[in-house]
Amino acid sequence: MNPNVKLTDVSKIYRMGQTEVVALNNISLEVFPDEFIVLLGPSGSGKTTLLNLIGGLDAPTSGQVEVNSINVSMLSRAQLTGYRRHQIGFIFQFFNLIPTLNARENVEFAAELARNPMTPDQLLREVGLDERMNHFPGELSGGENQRVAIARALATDPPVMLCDEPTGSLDYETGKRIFKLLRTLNQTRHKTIIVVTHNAPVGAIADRLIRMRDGQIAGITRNEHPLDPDKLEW
Amino acid sequence: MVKIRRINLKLLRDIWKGKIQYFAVTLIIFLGVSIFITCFEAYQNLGISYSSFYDRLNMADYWVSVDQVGSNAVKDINEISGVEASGRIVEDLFIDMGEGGGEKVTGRVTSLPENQMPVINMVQVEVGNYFSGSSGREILVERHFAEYYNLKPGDWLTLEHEQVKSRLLIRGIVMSPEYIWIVKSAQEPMPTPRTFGVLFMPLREAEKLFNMEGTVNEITFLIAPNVDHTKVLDRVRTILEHNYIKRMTFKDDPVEVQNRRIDIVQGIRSAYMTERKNVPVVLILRQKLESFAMLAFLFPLLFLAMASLTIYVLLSRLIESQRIQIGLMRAMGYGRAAVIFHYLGFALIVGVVGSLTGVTAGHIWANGLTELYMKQLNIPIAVTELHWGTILGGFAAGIFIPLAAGLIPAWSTIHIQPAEAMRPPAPTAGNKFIMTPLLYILRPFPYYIKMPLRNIFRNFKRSLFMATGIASALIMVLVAMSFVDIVDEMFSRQYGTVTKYDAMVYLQGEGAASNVSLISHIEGVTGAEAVLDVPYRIRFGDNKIDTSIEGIPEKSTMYNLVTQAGTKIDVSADGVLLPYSYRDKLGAQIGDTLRLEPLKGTIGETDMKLAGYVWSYIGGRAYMTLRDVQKLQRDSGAATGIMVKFDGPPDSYTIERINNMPQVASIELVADTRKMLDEQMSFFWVMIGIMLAMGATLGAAIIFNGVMVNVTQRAREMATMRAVGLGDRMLSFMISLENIFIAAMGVVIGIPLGKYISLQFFEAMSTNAEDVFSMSPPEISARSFITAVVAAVLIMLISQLPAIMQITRQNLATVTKEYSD
Ligand SMILES: Nc1ncnc2c1ncn2[C@@H]1O[C@H](COP(=O)(O)OP(=O)(O)OP(=O)(O)O)[C@@H](O)[C@H]1O
Ligand SMILES: [Mg+2]
Repeated sequence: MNPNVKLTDVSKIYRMGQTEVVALNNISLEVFPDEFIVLLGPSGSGKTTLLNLIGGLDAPTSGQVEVNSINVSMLSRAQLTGYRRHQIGFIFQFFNLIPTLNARENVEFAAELARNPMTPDQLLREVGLDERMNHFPGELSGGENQRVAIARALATDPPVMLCDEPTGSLDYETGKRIFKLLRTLNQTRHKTIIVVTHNAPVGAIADRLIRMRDGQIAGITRNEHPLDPDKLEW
Repeated sequence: MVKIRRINLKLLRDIWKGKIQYFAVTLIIFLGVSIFITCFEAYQNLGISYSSFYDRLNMADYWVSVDQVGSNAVKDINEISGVEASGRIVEDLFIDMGEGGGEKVTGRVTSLPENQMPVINMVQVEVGNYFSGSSGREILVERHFAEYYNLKPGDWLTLEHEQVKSRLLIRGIVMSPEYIWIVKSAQEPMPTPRTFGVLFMPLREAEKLFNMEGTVNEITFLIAPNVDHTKVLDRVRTILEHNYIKRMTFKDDPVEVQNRRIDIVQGIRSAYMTERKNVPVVLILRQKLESFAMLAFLFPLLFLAMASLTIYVLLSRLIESQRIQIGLMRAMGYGRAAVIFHYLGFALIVGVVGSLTGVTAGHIWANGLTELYMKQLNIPIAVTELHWGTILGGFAAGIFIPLAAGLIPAWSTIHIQPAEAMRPPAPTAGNKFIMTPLLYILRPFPYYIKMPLRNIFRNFKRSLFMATGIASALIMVLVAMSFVDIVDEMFSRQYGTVTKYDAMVYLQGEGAASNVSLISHIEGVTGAEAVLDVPYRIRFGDNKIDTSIEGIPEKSTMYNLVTQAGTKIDVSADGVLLPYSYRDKLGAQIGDTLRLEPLKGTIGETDMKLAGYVWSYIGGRAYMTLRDVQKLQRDSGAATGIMVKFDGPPDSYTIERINNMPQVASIELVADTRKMLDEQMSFFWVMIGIMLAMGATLGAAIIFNGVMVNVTQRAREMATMRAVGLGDRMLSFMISLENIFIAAMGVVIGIPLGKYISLQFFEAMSTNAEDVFSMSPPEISARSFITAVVAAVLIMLISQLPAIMQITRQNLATVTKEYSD
């Protein structure tokens, strides 16, 4: 099988005046379709940077990022916008919903960018929010907001979903349910999902667990029998 | 159902969320656009209304005044192809208004054909009828005069000419395009209807009365469209030459009606020609219009500039608070252009709503204003058209100026990197270079003074914006108040300093100065001095001004000339004093030699030194000593008027005694003139009131927005302060203090700017030497400055209230919880 996401010798160096911060140091990585990856690592180890490069939010200092045979580092600005629109779904720690749009409208906000958009109502039902579609973010709990954000990320039907600490601001139970949802989507909708987390135990639910340290991959663990998120404990 | 795109829905919801703020900007744009449309369309409407009124009554294109010419000349001119000419007699006489020697009034008689309405310079019969044609002893009365004396058809009027009295029947009350605004002469542009009336008489009757059988003294003619004027004028010149009128003086200056007369300069009979656009009435109405055109640009410019600033501030703040949302949109796959357009949308909506409503309201108001204005002038036509150019211009300005202002912050979203935007931003601390020394200086002060001062510099640009808002309100108030100052100054100078007499007694033609002693012996009169006013042309090099020279006694106690600066300056044998408004047109310096040419008669041509410039407001004229003017006229006892001072308000007996003197033509009471001026001012006061209200609205809208933006940005900080235990009163005090400091800044910016703008404004509006009303740029009074400053501070204090209320009502729990915005 061909890899879905392929990083070759990727480095990212931030220059701030005199000092240089090496956020990613010569990383090579392959992620395959339908894989559920968990990225684990201490703060500052480069997890977000890695997601940003894959998501086309940032360009590598050197090396190559390829997603679905698209050479991301070669894309023009306009092409990058299209790339993010059609290839990537983002999920953030702080949900980042538009506060002045309700749940359904937030999903529609993304669906309008798609060539073949998913039905927002159906997506919201799928994430378990069929009752609260007309509520605004301010009227929803953190977990519910994150579900809206997941439905939004699904709206353009992207093959790759990047989740940066999606449960970082949620409690234990709610967090577990979000992981369950992501895992389900990975299996039913065949999405490649990369989840960043600080929580070591979460690694158990992944197909592969990638540990990062100081901008480098410190180790990769393959789970032959990933844990059902329902059974997660931390 | 059409489904609105979600990004646009977000736009609308965001606007709704800050609806009062967006409403405030929209209001500013609305005011800017509506003022422009109102003033400029009214200006255009009034111009068209005047001309269509002139055209409807076939106002002549040219007036030719001669001493006397045979009617066959008129016939010849009428036969030029494309020309419609008519001859008439225009003469002054006396109207005896009181049975048995009451008021004596100057009447200007114009002849009309007795059987049918004239083809040119028609009159419009308001009450009664045109001449019946059966009897010659009929007249028509112009309506200003009829109104004042309550004359009706069927009344009789006694006219007096060269001691011969005749009684005529009033057939009708009429209006005439030539007398919409009654002008006696350029020197007396505002005669009161009490002393000056316009009458129309059958030609045959006028010929008899003035001894002019078979001749006329004025030819008016109308040229058909597409006919070459110069060719016609050449023909007219030839025809006049055949009638022994050898010179035709083409007037590019307005000529006083009185002076369109015999003109035997250097022994040559000459004709005076005046174009329609230079006829005094046309000129005056036109001049009054110009202020509309002026207002149409000045204030809208200020409003739209302030709207732009407000939009800039609002959008900058919006974008700053939506950094994360912008980052998100970009991450989701919205392009840079989509984001820019999204934020431009805010400016666009505000601009479109403001412009659409502004144009609509402006158009309606323009029509209302036109009708009101024409009604005030008693002109029955008010043409209210839709001027597409103006409408589109106002609409475009109202949309594109805000858009341009919005483009700056909207464009800045280009630099927002989605990856970076989604990290929480660092709090702004303000300019370090200002903050550090500031903190040091402020150290000894208590926190409730320290913090407001510090806050001003935290976002200095925004403080400056609010200061500009205050400044613009101040400018409006100052400009409005300087109008008041000008009028006050004009009146108080004219009637408090310059003219100290209670009445001017006009004598018939050139009378005798000896009337002074006769009048001063009348009971109730405390003083009398003679004046001699003679029409003259003043030349300096190639420049010339037609005016009159007034001779006033040296050391006069009733006529105190002052310089522009207000210091007293006496007429003396040293030379002639000219009004300040002539300075630019004539270009003469004090000490230069001027050439004085009489406009009437042949004597008195002379050279004279320019002794100084004097202040004047209405009807500028030159001044010399009475004796010198008498010398010019070769008549040491001549006078045209007597200035009279009464012992308190004159009783009717005193007035009657003066009126009964044989040489007296009329008495113009200063009190009457002032009353008439006051009445004409009412429209002006309304304008001032509107200007003040608009200035206040502008300032309030800007301050409201500025404080609102400040407060929402600091919501969390303020909630924290309240949570820690800072009382609402103290918090309100601190916000008010900050705003008062900002208002002080606004005052510092606004005062010099307001001074400069009002100066420019009046400079542009004034000083056309021939303008009948010459306005001089204002000396802005302390009262105006104080009013403006107090108004500015009040506006500031009031418009911050909603923001303060919002803070004190804020739920502490929700504010401290919110992570963005
Ligand atoms: N825009 C930037 N400019 C400068 N340095 C940056 C920038 N973005 C990230 N870095 C640095 O790069 C390194 C990696 O950052 P990154 O955000 O990828 O870490 P992370 O693993 O996501 O950490 P966390 O778990 O705290 O989110 C850090 O040292 C960070 O300070
Ligand atoms: Mg991170």
